[in-house]
Amino acid sequence: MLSLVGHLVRSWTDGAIRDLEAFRRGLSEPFPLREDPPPVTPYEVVYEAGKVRLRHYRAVGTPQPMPLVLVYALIKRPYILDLEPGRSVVENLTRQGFEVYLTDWIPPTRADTSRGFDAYVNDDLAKAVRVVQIREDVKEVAVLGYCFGGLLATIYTALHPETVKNLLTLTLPFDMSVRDGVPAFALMDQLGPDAIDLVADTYGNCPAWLMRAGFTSMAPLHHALNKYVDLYRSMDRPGYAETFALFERWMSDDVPLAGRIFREMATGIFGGNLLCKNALEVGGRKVDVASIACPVLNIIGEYDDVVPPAASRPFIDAVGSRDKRNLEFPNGHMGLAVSGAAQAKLWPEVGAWLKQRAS
Amino acid sequence: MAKQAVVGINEVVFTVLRTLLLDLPLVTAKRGFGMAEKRAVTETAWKGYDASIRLGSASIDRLYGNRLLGGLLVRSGHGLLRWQRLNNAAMGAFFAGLWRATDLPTATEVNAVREELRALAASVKAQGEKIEALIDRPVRSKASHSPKVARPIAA
Repeated sequence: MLSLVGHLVRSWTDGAIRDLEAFRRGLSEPFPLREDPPPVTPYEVVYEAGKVRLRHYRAVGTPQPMPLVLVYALIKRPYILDLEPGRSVVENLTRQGFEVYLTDWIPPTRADTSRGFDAYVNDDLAKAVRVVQIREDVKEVAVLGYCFGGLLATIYTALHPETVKNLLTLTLPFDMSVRDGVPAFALMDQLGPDAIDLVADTYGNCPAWLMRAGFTSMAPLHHALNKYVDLYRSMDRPGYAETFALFERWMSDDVPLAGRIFREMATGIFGGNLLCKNALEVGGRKVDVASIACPVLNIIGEYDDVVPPAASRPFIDAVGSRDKRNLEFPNGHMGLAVSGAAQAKLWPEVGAWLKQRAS
Repeated sequence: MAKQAVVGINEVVFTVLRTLLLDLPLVTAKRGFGMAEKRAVTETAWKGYDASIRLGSASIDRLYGNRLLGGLLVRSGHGLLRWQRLNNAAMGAFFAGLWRATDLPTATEVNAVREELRALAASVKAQGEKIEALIDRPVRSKASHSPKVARPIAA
């Protein structure tokens, strides 16, 4: 009992220090990113412009003919996809022979408050894909988007279908009318568009600390206490403490969200469910999900408590593709990227699906 | 809905009460009489903890749907944000406007002066090094190396 109390005191103190440092970083302008931990999989930055930095991870062995563009979310840092050996999506895919390109989004400053979906999709992402086309000498690429990145990837594919060979979405928040499974949404619903506008008008961008507060509110008891108790109970499991430390570091690495895309996301996508209703416009063009005709693989976490599975499943019915399916895996929102089971079973299946559709 | 075991809050309350009021005292008593291992006590205690966490989480989740709490958070959030906007605007006006009226330097001006001073210090140091180099250079005299001796004037 005493050892548990001692462990909790130490863990809480570490967590409080992490939170305060994250808060301090979030209050500074320009946003002082601390360096990511050393990458597991080596990469080179092949393009940087606007708010995107494009990383290239070389395939191991004979490369597949079709390169894969990983569209990461605008929230937190992308090293969750390359966390540690044996828990790296990037490492897994490169070992399967894929040339992987990852969008490392540069956090916005006060000068970027006017950036919305149009800037991120039709400018940054479109140019990044163009770079991949030139480097790999291909006309079409495979695109895989994770969560918010899945939204960007879906919007991009609907607006630029001629460049996308295959679309993969991982925990895509599609039908945002679903409220079951995430009780915190009920609280967010009460905020209303006025609160969103007030946040954007006060801070310019949605500050990092507010993003963190939102995610913490989804499981406050877990973040305040249970994860530290689980750490105590799992201390005998080899590697658990190291993975926990890395994961906690990632959890505290929030970044701001550009003001305009914050409004579009909160009011349009979350509040108005515009993407699901086929009523979203980006850059003056309607985003018609039904016009997506390429093969689509929609990966869903059965235990996802950030994007409920019911919010993701309808995507397959909305796209116009003939070759499409949902792939449900028994894991949570982050587990799909970092768990050993996902590395052993899910990502090889994803790789096999891609290889079948490479030509 | 996620495929987690969805347990109604009543069932969770029952599990907590049963574990804390029945299972745990029973297994502790058994342990006292040597009829149960320490591991059984620990496992029962953790079961009670897990059920308590589920109860706490379920309670918080129900609270999120409470209109009174939501309204309170929204109103207080609005108030705080408006106050912050006013504060930001007032501070901005003060430091941009009144600060100049008091003729106190801004941070930019102070930094500019610091940079000038640094540049001056570097220039002085460079000049000093040049002078030292000149002093240390050996002197090159002409044909006669001996000093001229004053000859006495003939009477």
